[in-house]
Amino acid sequence: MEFLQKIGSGLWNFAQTSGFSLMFTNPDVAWWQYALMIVVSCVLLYLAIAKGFEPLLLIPIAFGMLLANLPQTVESGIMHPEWFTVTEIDWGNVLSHGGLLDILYLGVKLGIYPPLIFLGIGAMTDFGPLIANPKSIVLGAAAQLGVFITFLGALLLGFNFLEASSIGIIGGADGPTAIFVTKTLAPHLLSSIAVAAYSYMALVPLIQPPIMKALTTKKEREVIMEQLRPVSKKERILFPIIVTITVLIIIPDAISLIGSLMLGNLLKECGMADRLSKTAQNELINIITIFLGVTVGATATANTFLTADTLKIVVLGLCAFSISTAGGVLFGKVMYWATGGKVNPLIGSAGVSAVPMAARVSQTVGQKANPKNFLLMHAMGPNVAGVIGSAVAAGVFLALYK
Amino acid sequence: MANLTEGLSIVVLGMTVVFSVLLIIMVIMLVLGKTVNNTPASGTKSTTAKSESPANPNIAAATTNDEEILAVLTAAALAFRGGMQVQNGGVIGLRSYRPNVKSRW
Repeated sequence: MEFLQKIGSGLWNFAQTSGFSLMFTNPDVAWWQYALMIVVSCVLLYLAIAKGFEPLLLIPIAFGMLLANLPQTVESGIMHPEWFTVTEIDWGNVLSHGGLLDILYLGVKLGIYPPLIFLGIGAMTDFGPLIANPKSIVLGAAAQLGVFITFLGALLLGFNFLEASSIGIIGGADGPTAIFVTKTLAPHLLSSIAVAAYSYMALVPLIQPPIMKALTTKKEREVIMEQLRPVSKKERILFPIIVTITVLIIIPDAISLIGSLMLGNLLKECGMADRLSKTAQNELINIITIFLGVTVGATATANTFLTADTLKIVVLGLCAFSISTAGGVLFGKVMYWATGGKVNPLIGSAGVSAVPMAARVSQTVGQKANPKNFLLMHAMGPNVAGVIGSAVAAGVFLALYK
Repeated sequence: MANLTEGLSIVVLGMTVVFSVLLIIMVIMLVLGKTVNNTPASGTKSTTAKSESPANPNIAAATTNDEEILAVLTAAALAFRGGMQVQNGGVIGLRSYRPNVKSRW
């Protein structure tokens, strides 16, 4: 009899520590909030796996979200986002009692992962089209319009300057940049902004074409651009050095992002560090992408994600993308007029970054208007200029509000 | 209202800085393209391939320019045709060339 009582009490104690019990007894999170977050995670996983929406990033983010939203106690928790949103972080507590994702999240909190991702992006990026046609770089600047207009919109919706800066940077269509700015200025919005940024980047082929068509005439879309000239190795090597010096003399706060991006590109272009270049564009960026995705996803707990602010951020993110696209296309039209019709305005939309998806969209829309049109390489110029442009815009916000 | 005014000033400031930085890079790269590399500016057509002989090293090194690729193909066709002329002692169109095997025997 005593034996059965012991088994019974053991089972009862075990049941009380189970996630199912915690789901109904946690005073901070209601059971339906847990359930809703699990559903959101699964929807994101579905979009990434079945629909191919940015799977390399959305799968780790969605799985991190799933891990953080399964019921767990403070002691057994794999991630404690609330530890990182306070003014004074108790680093000793994080290191001695933190879960796996708490420790990995230090790479986000300390601003290590986004620059390392940029290192890999730099090693993978061919700036040749931009060097061959430097005029296209201004399209990358024009496409930052959405960043600043959305910043203004966020202020009007009641966000403070730090939060508005982080929301606005979604318009740069650059995930690591958005994460880097947000972790510094508004860490409590990190999960919402990361999910919004990566979701919209995946939706670029759906968001951009209607805007591009609405702002251009058929005649403009049909313009066939002349072949780009070949770019010498000397120019390719000098480019990252020139960009680094130019940008960082003006905006030192962009040093982490631009410095890493250009270092990665120099490793690739110099031809003397192939091992480092290959590591940066393969193993390093893949490992960091997993760490970054999972930990950012894990910050999306019910308390921080299921808020009215998240809805506002989703709407503002869409506005940011749309305005950035419009800014690029409109400036493309200016270049069309200025050059007497030699520039196809469609390449302007690629200035929103989102490499190389946005350039592919320019190619697709251009080819629909004129099957002989090949805009891909022309659009790659503004596309990679957008990466630099969004990092500069991030540097402006960091310089003003850090 | 104060927020909006400050926000507007940041919009202007931010776009100005972004444009300035990228315009500076653009100017440097334009100058670099013309001086260091000494190649035609972007968007201009190269005329070297069209006017010079197939032996021009520019043509041998050509990889991306349409006109240069066309010149390489033309040069290859001319060389092939020239070779045929030497071999057969006369102008022979590729379509009309039919070796008469029986007569050689």
